[in-house]
Amino acid sequence: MLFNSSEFLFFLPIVYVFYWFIFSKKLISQNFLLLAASYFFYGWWSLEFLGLLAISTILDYLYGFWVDSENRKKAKLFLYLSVINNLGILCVFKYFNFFSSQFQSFLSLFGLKCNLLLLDYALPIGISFYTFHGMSYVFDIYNKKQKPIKSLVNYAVFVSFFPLLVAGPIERASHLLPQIEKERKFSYMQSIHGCRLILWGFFKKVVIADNLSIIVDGIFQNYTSESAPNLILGAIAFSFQIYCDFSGYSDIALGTAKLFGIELLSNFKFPYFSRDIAEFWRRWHISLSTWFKDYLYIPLGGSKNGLYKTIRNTFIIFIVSGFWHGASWNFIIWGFIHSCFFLPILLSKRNRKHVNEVVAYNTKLPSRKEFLSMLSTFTLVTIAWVFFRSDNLTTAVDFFKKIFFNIVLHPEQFLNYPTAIVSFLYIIPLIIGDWIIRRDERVLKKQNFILYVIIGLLIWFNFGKNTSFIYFQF
Amino acid sequence: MKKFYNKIIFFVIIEVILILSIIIFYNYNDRILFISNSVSFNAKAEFINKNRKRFDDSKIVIIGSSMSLNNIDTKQIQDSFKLKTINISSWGTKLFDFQEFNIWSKKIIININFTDLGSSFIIQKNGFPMNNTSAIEMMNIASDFSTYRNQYAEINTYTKLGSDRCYTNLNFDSLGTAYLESQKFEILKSRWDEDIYLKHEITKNKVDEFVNSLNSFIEKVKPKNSIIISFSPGRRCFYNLNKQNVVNYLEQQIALKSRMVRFVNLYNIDIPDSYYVDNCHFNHKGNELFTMYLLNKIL
Repeated sequence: MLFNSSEFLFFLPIVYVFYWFIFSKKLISQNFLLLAASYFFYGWWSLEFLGLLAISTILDYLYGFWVDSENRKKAKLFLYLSVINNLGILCVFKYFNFFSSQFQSFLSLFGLKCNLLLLDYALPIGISFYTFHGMSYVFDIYNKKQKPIKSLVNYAVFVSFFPLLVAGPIERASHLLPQIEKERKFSYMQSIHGCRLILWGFFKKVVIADNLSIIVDGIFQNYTSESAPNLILGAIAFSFQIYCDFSGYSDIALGTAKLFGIELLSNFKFPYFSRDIAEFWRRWHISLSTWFKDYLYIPLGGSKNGLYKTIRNTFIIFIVSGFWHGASWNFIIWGFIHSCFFLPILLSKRNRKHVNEVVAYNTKLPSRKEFLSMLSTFTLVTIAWVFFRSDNLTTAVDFFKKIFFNIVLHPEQFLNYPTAIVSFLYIIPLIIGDWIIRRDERVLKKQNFILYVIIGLLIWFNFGKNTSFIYFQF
Repeated sequence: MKKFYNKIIFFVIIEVILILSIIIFYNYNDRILFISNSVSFNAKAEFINKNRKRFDDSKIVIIGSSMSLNNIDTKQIQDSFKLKTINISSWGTKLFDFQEFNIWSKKIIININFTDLGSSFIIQKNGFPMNNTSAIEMMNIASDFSTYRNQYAEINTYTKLGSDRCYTNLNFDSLGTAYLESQKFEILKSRWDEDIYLKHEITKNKVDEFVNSLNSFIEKVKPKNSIIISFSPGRRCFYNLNKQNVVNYLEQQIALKSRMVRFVNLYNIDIPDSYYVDNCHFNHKGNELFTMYLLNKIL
């Protein structure tokens, strides 16, 4: 089940009513309900992969006890087994076909032909998220930051809590588990804020991202016949589409969790107002960035073991992050490009320059320098997004070639009205909205009722199962 | 908690009132029938609604995609059989899409090409053309407003001269045929040179899906009637043995199904390019010639 499906509109109020009215007396029954609802939510999409989720959960729950051993050798052995188990699941279900086809291509370089097995099933939704939940739990126990929990139900809720099951945020055991184990009380302000976040998330997803996707898909599918201004606008529109798609989803997750009295980690903090790439990565998909920082970058030595290791670790973390997004070369290249953007900042020790405050914290508008640094960061990020969006590496390179040759050979194109300019109808309100709330998201709470009614109407009228249409086949 | 529920309920009531008001206003001012996500299917449903008596009285029904809509001359069929005939086909519609239509006491004719194999893309909303009521239609619109709203954009796009599909209207003649000349169809180089077989990647599976759709037809059609499936040709320059094998395989599969179904293989007939408007659709002259070929085989 997806948030932007009509089933979810029925599912959420039903679970909510059961949660606060029927199961509210005992914590264990509330957690049972959350677990049952989460499995129903997941099972709605695929019953067979529900088993995989259950097995993964039980194994990590057991590894939690085994890793807690005082015998560090034994603990380390089980830690490795847990990693192998989780990465094994990911490798089989997400990366198997990629590795298999790459191996075949490699053999073909030597004139060898072989038909290796390719698995024929859909990628289990949320697999990258729940395996990372499980791994963070075991890592934290190994590092003595967390004690293994006794209740399997509570642990299963931590892994499969339905608001974060499909697209995160990737929660930490130390943040979410205490909330699951503690009695939760209804809070008016928390619930109202949850509803507002849900509305805002749906607005970003259904109104902005889904409408932008029509423009973006059209441009990326027919990039060979598009003008340079349209290609550039298509890339910009995709930057906002992916932001609204993902952050909208995260907002719905955060808002839904609030309705059940649970606070999740924030995943996005106005990434396109970043002044450099380092700041961008502190504001974009925060739960994943910090996960890789804590469980990969720092264990590898971070930036504290000389120049060579710093460069190596930077490339590793970005490339792995790219590969996490999908089993394809364009995601790997996307990660590689970001590491190339990030490295100069890290080496010149400017990576922590904008750690605390958001841009123009004390002023209404950014200074010229701030504006230019935001613009240059956005440009770099957008260039990388083209690799992320393209079907393959060749398409991405051709996309840029097309822009370049069009500019050189047909500069008059810029005099014509680019059709994709319509995407700014969606982008500009978003930028204004984000700019207003950048200093304090609580501003959202102060908005008046009429604004939310309008947002609700816009969501309803853009809500639909089919954003793309059947065209005439003729 | 009560304060929260009151606020949510108030919000929902306001939203519902506003949504209903907007839908009623929208529907009242500029109405299009909304029974599926396909604007061409809806246009044909509108035609059937307006011609209910003809539909009920007809003894022959022509179903299918543009292969039936543009390539078959319904009037010629009616005159030759001396039986009332109606063409209820529309662009992109596949055999499967007609399962809910009450056509089982009629002789069924369907003309196909490679694009018509495989499964359907059309999602039908609540209520089909035969019993669609205003209430059901309102429900369709309310539950999927974005699809409904985009039908307007789609109609504008596809009926605009110069776009890929160059019709000037979505209208049909009194029997349900659409002659491409009357829709001012322009011959476009891209559609003229395009090999639809390659574009649609025809596989054995797609043939099987078509034959499976046929099963439910065979079960429902009254014994004295029959289903005639003809295979339309394309421009001769696209003809090859590989495609011929697909047609032969289809013929074999259909022959295994039932004696009620008759397959008329017209894939091989040589019709000059001057009778086509693109790779596989005929102009009015071609439409009449092809129908003559078809009638020669079935009469």
